[in-house]
Amino acid sequence: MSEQASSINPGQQGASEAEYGATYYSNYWGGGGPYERNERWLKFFGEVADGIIRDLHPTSVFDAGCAMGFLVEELHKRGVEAWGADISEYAISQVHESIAGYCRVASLTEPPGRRFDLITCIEVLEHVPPAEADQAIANLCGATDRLLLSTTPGDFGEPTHLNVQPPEWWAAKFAEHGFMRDLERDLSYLSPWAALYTRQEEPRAETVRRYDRAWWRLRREVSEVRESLLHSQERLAELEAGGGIGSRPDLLVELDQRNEEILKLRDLLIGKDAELGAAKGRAAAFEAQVMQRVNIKNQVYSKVPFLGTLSGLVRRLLATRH
Amino acid sequence: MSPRFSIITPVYETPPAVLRKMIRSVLHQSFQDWELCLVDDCSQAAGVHEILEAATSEDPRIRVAHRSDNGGIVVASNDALAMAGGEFVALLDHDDLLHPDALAHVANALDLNPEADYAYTDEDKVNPAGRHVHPFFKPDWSPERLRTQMYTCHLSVLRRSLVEEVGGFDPEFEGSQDWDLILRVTERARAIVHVPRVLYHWRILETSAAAAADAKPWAFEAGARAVQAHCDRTGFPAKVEMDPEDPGVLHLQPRLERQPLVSILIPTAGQAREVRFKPAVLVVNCVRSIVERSSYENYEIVVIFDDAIQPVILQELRDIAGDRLRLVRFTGPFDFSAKINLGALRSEGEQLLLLNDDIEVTTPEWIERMVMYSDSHRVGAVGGRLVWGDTRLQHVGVGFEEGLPNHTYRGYDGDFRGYANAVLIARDVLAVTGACLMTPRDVFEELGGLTTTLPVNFNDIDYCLKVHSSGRRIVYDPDLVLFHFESSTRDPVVEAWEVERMVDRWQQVAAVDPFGNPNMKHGLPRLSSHVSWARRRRPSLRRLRPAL
Repeated sequence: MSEQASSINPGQQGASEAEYGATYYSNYWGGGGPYERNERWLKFFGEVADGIIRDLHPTSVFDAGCAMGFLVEELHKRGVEAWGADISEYAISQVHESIAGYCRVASLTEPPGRRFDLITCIEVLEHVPPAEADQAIANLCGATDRLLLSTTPGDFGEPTHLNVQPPEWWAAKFAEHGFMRDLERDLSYLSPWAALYTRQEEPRAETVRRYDRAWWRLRREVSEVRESLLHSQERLAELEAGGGIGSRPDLLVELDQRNEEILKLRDLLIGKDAELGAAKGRAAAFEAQVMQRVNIKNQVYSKVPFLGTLSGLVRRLLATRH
Repeated sequence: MSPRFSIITPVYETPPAVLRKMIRSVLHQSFQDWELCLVDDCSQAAGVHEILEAATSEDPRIRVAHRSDNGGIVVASNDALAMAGGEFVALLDHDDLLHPDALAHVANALDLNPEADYAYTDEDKVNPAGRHVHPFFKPDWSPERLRTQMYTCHLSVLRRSLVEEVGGFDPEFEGSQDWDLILRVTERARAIVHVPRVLYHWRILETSAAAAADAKPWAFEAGARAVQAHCDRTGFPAKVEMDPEDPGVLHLQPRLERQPLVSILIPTAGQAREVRFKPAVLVVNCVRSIVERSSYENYEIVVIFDDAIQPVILQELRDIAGDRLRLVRFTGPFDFSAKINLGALRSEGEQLLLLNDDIEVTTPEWIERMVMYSDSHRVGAVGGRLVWGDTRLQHVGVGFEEGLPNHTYRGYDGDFRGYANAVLIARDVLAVTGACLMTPRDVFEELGGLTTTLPVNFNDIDYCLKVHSSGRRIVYDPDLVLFHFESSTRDPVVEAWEVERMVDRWQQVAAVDPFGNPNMKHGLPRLSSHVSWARRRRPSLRRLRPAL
């Protein structure tokens, strides 16, 4: 098989050393720092292994394109038998000693050699030249009934991404081998585009039903999301326009209260001023009345002689009586 | 030394008896410091010359000039003005009479107001039989009223220096030359005083303007032009139109240069009532009439509602008013003042229009009309003519009797013209109802809005008195007609404490309504006024002022 594969792509084995050597792994991988055996990568693959075991309960796993075998290692830690293969001799040389015997150098154009309960193929197929992709898929499909595939649909920037394809392209390829996407399975812990393909010996009607069910669910979801977005926009517009019932933020309410208090105080001030004016008017009127009486008294006193003395005597008499 | 008063009187074809009586009424003045400037406008009638000659020889204060041609009343009046040397000129027509104390009372009033440049008195008419009829008891100085009615007319006494400054009588307005002159004088006068006494007797002759409204149509037309010229001079944004059926009534049609944003504040509890015998939600009816009938463009409707209101009403309002609507939720117990204040704070208009929800708009230009006044100088509040569903009058301005407000002519027939056309002409008043009231926002905020110490009654009256005491004017507009569907059989319950609070605050200001008259009550002459008016025709001040 090795000979045959080489004849299909004579430069591949040699190229792999140039393309996927130490430099590649320390510079390119994932963009989040070098790809090496560190806590970050072990934690990530630990979580992936947890997810796989939780969702799929595999009895045996083959990680096609296992690089430094982190997933194989994490699966082993969790008691799941796992094997791996990678085209890069450098990567395989970096595999941890605990799983040294489980990982080997091999091209995907070679069949894995035995059957596995589950094959994982994580961010690998986009690296396989288009001419070899069919063979690789055929090999993978021949060795299992369940295949966990994650391959980027959009990262064209990396030079080693030789075959970046949209999800439906891969789905069609696998369908040729009787593998269908499991539409119910959520694999977002691995990547947004990860998918589980399983061998389905089902009539076409069943496939259509499954796909339609998923399509309908998504369609409803979209329309609901759109509606709620529209509602949010309306609320936003209402807030901006300042209208609507009780849609004002607290600050404006407080401002209103302050302004109301200012109005009240001004009114109170003007009111008190007016009251003062009214009181002054009453006082002036009273004073005028008093003055009038005083005038009358003075006139009377000036006209009647001795009235002042007389009234003084009367007052004194009254005082002595008491 | 120049006299205090120069009485100027153009003479033309005056019946001898009438002319003699006129001159005698001047000679009998208790106040002596006057001169009488008579200009004979080339009269041909027998007796005029002789009477004038006799008068000059009788008293040196009587001066006569003769024109060689007939120049008309304006030219003759200007000639008389040129002869005058007094501090003030008094306008006396050749067939009218002065009360013996006329000059004495005016002199007293001018002494009390040294800044006064113009004084006017009440007047009555003398019919051909010699009886005194139709006393005209006038309000104090009301610039708004003078724009639609020559109400000051007789007796007018003007500071001579100011008359000369404005250029005397203008032949352009012959027939209403006195209205034009007084408009031009009052535009510049520092102070204007009113003497509330009948001191001038206007004789009704067959040819006199007092006889019939149709006698001198050109005089009315000249009056309209004089007012138009006044509006143009002072920047009052209106076009003056004569009423087609009633030439004595002028209408001011708004010609606004700008349209400031108007916030219409409508507090509501969502009540329903019968409108034209059909049950209707008042606020919906009100907002619909605004949206459908208003020709003004730049306005918003602010509805201040309680929690108790049905949501369906609010939705209906949204459907009717669309983007113009602003809804403001009010929480707390019923408080008309607080509701209006909240609505004002939550709105943005330059002008605020307080409106009850039981109002229905009929005049398409109603907002323009109010802005016309409210946007001009020193006006603090504007109200209109409100009528009930059966077109009887509900509100034509508020007067004050013994310090308490009173809706003048409330319940009168819709056709009622009022005393001296009071319903049909624009007037300054002391208060207008808050059922429909426009006020500039800056004034509203400066005065503290509606008082929350009077949450139910009198808050609008209180507001108007605040406006008045801040030196601003309050205007009643007769051509702004709105329906008010308040129950005409129900009198609002006024609590004793509310009256008390009003009195406490405004006793001093409202004790005497400047736009009323001591001889008037409820907008009409008092019964007793006829007695006092007749009694006062007898001279009384002669004893107080000895001859000089």
